[in-house]
Amino acid sequence: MNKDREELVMDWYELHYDDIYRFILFMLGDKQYCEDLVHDTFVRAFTAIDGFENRSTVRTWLFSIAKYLVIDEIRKRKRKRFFSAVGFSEEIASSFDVEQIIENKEMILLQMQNIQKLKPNYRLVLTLKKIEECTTKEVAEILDWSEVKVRKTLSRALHSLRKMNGIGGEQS
Amino acid sequence: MTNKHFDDQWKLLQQIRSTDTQKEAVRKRIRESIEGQPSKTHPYKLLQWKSIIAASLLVVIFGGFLFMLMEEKPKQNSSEYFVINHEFFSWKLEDVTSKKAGEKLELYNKNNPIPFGTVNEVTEAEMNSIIHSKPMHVNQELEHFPYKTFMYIEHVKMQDVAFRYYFFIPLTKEKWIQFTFDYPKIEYADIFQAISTLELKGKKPYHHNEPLYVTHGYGKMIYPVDLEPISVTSNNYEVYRWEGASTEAFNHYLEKIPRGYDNRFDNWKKESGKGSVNTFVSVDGNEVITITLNGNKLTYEYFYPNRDE
Repeated sequence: MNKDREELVMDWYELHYDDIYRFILFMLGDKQYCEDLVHDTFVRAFTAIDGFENRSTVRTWLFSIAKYLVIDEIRKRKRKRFFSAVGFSEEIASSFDVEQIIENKEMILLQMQNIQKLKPNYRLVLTLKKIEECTTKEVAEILDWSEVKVRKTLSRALHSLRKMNGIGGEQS
Repeated sequence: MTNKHFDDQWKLLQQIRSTDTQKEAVRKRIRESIEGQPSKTHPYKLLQWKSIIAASLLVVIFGGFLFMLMEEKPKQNSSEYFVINHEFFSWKLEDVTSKKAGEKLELYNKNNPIPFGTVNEVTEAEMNSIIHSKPMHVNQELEHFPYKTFMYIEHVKMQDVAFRYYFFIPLTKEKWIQFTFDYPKIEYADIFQAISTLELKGKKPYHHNEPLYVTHGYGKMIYPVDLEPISVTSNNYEVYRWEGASTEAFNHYLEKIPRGYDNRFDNWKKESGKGSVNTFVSVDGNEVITITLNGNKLTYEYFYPNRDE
């Protein structure tokens, strides 16, 4: 029985690894931690598999698990001097393996660094909507928010990001 | 910047992914963790337990014989033989007690029943195994410390531990002493005060004749090693008692900050300051630190101007 569950979770891993990896990477900006939390997400999925009732998709359920882990990690990091402690650019740079991305490395690094400076809630909603392309309904489900809150927070997050980029506006 | 350009950026960001090697490594770790989980169905659990008990009995019996044989053997050369107990080491860090726990010593703060660190002897092979089996993020030899000291920092994902600092010091050709300290059970400054004032019984320490500074393992800011935390809060405000405080020592410290731990002059720029209050900005502009000396109290105020939090 455990073997069946294991195979099921490993199938999920093949399907959703990239999404979960990217989500955690954008939330934490730290490759090593990212790998640790991807691992923890799927191990937790394995242990909590009985609680998964197919009311949401596997992808949104995995995002919910990953969200708890990253929020917990961000709380830990609020302890003094952690944020400045972990190098960012060096970590991210080794995550590129697409030629087109390498060509735009500087711009992407800057944008990722800007996203890292946003409040955790802004980062969550922006990553899920703009990077992972979840629907507003899915984001609301993952974050356990109302859809109105998702829209408002996204709008504020984009506004903050625009300010960092020193530009005018973008509609969400 | 237009919406179209903004959309193009999102498209590029969506393509970021890890390498196949990383994916494979995480896949392997997940498999190992899942297979290490207890099974919910145990059809032959009793049989397994019987085997374990039988094996344990055999180990105890043969272990007993082995112990008796070893007791008969003469002790090793005393000049190369160290006993790790509370008398073996000392430091200026106060209110620390230790308790034997198996092969190692556990370190406690007075009146706190939870250990904040450990001390034990390891072989070179054991040390290498520790270094390679943990997610170590810093690997640094500490210069001008009392003994040749190698520091590693493990990222620990526990409720009460964020970082575990490892310090390895060679005792003999094959043996090393290992100290571990768990942050935030113990403050950064305390960790470095302990190691920078360490004295091991039977091993003469080296005393550097210049002030020593450390980066606390991470970051670019350097701190004197002889700081004792008075008030360290999460609100980016820290106050220390500086044992070596003096105007001369403070000026020496301020001069050293832009040069950094590695003398590269590319870490901090002095923004303002004269006398006892001085402000430094990191070269990327993301961190501003104001350092104030008042008597023997050294205060750090941290600001992160580009952080939206």
